[in-house]
Amino acid sequence: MSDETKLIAIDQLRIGMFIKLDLNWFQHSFSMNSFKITNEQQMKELRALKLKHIRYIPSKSDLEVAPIKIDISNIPPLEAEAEKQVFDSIVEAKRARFEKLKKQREDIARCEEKFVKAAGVIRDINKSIFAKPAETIKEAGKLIDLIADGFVGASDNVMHLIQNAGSSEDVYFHNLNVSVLAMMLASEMKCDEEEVKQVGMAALFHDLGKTKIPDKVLLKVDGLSKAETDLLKLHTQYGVEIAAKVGLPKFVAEAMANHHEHMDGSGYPRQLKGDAISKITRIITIANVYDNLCNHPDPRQSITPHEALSSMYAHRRAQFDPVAMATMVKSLGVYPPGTLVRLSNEAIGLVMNVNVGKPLRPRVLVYDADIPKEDAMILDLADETADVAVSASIRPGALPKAIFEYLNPRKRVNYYAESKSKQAATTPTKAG
Amino acid sequence: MPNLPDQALFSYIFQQANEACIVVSQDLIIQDINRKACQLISSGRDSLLGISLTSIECALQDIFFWDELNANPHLHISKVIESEWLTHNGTAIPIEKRVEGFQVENTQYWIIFAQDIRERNRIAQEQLSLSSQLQSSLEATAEGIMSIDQHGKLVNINRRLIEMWQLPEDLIVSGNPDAIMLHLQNSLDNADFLQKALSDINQDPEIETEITLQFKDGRYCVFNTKPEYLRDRLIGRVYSLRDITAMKKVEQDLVNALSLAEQAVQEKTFMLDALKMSESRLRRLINSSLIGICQGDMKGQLTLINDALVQLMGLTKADLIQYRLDWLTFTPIEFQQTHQTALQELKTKGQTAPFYAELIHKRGHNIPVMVGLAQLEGSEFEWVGFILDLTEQKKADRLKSEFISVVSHELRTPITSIRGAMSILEQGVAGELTPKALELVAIAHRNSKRLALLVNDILDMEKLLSGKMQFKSESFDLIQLAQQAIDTNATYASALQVSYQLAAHTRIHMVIGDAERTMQVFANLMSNAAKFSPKGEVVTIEISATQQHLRVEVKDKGPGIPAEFRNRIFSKFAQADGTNTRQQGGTGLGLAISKTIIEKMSGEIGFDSEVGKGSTFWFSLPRSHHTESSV
Repeated sequence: MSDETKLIAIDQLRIGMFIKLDLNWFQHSFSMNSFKITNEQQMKELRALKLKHIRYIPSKSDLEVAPIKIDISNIPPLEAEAEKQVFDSIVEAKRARFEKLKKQREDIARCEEKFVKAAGVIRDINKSIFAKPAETIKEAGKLIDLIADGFVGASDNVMHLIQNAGSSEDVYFHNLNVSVLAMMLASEMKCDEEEVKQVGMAALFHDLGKTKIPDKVLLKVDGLSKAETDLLKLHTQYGVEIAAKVGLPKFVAEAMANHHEHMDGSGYPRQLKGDAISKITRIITIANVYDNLCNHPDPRQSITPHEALSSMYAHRRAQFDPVAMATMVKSLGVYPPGTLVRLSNEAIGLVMNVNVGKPLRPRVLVYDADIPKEDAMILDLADETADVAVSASIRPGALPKAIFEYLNPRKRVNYYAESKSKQAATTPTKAG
Repeated sequence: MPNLPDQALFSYIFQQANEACIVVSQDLIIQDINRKACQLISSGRDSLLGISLTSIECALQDIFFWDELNANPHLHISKVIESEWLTHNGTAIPIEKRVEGFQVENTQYWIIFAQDIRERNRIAQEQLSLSSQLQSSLEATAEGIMSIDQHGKLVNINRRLIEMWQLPEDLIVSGNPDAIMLHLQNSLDNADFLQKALSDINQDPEIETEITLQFKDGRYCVFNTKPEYLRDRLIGRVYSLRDITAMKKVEQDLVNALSLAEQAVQEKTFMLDALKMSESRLRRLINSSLIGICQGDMKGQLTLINDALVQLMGLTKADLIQYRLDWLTFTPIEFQQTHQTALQELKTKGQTAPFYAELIHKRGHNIPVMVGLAQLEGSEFEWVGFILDLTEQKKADRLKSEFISVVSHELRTPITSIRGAMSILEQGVAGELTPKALELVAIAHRNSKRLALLVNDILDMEKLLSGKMQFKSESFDLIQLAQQAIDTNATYASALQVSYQLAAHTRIHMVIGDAERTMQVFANLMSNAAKFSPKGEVVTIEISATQQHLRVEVKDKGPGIPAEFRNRIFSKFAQADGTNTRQQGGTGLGLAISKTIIEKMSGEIGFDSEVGKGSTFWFSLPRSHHTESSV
């Protein structure tokens, strides 16, 4: 932002310059208004814009380009045919970009739909688990199957940020988030499908013991008293009791009992260490902590996904399964979905999803005052050149109001996972 | 393996290095760590050796960093990345690390050089906010600002300046201050100012300049330049431009208003001068005039009187200032009525006919004057009076009448003697005369009688005018007087073969006046009528009454009075046909005397005449009220 820009004549444009177009995003073929010129094609397209001058940022350019006087007449004017080609390529690029944007929006809408649906199922499960335990457990299994089918075994999984989940099912979002995240971790940790689903089932029910805790303790936002804390901690024990009563599988009961145990023995209730905690539970634990940090009962105490992951890695690493921890970082990346970021081209955006395999090249919803909020551009860094990257995370409070409202980061961070290829395979048959 | 001294030396250098250094194996196990690094993470060297680097590095990006490095190890390329190190007490501090690889006997090592960047981050943050603050201030200011460094390179220029100077992009791109200044010069009306300022700056790079530039499009800008210093060193010059067009306009409006006001004042002064001049001219005119001029109001208060009048009345300027001048105080009692009448006339007609009056001189004597008053144009309450001094004329009149009186008296005595002698001669007392001599004596006698008559009339006239003639104010019977007059004049009339006839149409007889003088008027009118009547005609004397008066009409059937003569018929020595005087006889003073007499008795006199048919002379006298009962 503070980078000094310089105007140069179009004839002095060089590969390696980081330029900034004072044009609307729709007026050129490039994905961004600011970028580094990396190839001759870009040069051609820039010239085709018929600008006399272009602003560039010397500090971001590869070289301090000394203005060389070039006789403009020496530059062969673009042939009419070539010019048309360039123009066509702009149009084509634009068209492709619109297509992509449309597709991206569809992805988001679909995931939101699935998420809301799943949250509804979880609500039903929680309601009927005591009345109709067997059936309910079966229903839960179906939900987990459905979620697992979306990505398990695929190598191109995407973790989506769910922006529009509504708020009526808030209570059940936690269970769903932990399930999705834990299943994703399990999947990335190369667990087999059965194991992934077990992780999902266990995650789904891990907090069932909380149904025995009074709401005034559960929903209390300011500090709990020692007694209240002790009471809350009992939910692991209660979970075990409920599991026995309704006939939940043993691995579920184990997760209910131990999901607050830590690898270094700093957890509760029994201060178990290392292998004393099952792998399933260890995966759930890390997902649970992450979701609790991002979605604190008091939204004001929530921290951003980036901060949550950073702090877990920096300060609480010992509490978690190191493989699960590493997998989580490698899956969600440095800037997990829901993080506000500044890009290397000075754009500001909200990370919408990450390619689990390429977590440093997420899709980012980009703020652009020239584009209406509804049509906001989503930049897929996976498709961009290396010079466009996330350079830093931003605290929501540091954003100007206009940008904050445009990007609208939610107080809650909800996730849903999907495989690109699986989605592509299932969508046409409407079988998803 | 390096030999011992070298190793000790290198170890020393490693430990004393100012940069934090950690040497790790390929699996990131710490092989060595220097003092600086230990300080940074507040741990002892021994506790760190052999543990994993990842227990120190705690930034998420480190995971990806090492993955990437391991995936394709560029041993000779150093990589720089920001990271965080976890200190012994659990806080994470931001660092910037540079990683270089090296190999010793096929074993791969990484050396990590790290710098604490807390301070740098803080400074960068401060600089960022400072520069963004500066930049936004620069852009937010209403002034156009440009700064040029010592080497003539354009360092900064804000949008405002670009707008104000209307700099084309080419020029900004060129970054050539000379070209920019030239562009500015070309858009100015007062380019010489700019040139002068620029050459001043050239001569003394440390001066500050401020000039007002006038753009061709009508804008005014204050152009300010100041040297820019870094500590004591001159590093360039800042140029700022402030648009003061609006201010100028206000200023100009003020100046315009002022000059308008000045002009108005000048015009006023001019007008005043003209007025003064015209006033003084008028004053000179008034004061140099021989006629007394005064201005007064309807109460008689004088507001202005000229030098001539001041002199006439024997006043001094001091008197004028001292006293409130009232016309009436200068008017003798006998003329006060005249004066009131004049004011009344002034009110109704706007002016008066010149009238005779007298004023009291400061020394007490009266001054005869002719006065004319006229209402001041545009005012109902003020008038201007013109006073003509008649003293000299009066003196001349008196001399004349005295002369006449003396002459007449001196004439009357010898004429009486001549008449007596002639009468005796005619009657033959002195012996019988020859017929021829008798005829001559008769002529002489007749003419001496006429001469005596003339002398009497002149004396009468003189008496009347000089006020020496006394009038009685008594009741008398006018009809009776008329009969007497007929009797007295019958002889004269019969000589002309004319007779008189009296017709009284009223039973009222009594009037107030002087019977003897009235008889004189009767005699005059009746003799005139007889004189101008054809032979054998009758002159009728008719008497009638009005509310306040008795009116006497003497009607003849003579030739009538020619129109051109009518307005001077009552003047002295007036007769319609000068040549006829002798034929008709008479002195020409009769009517003038009659008029004076009647008016002295508060009566009126006049005539109606038709040429060829005759004339009617009439007079009226006020009725006596207390004598009615006697009738």
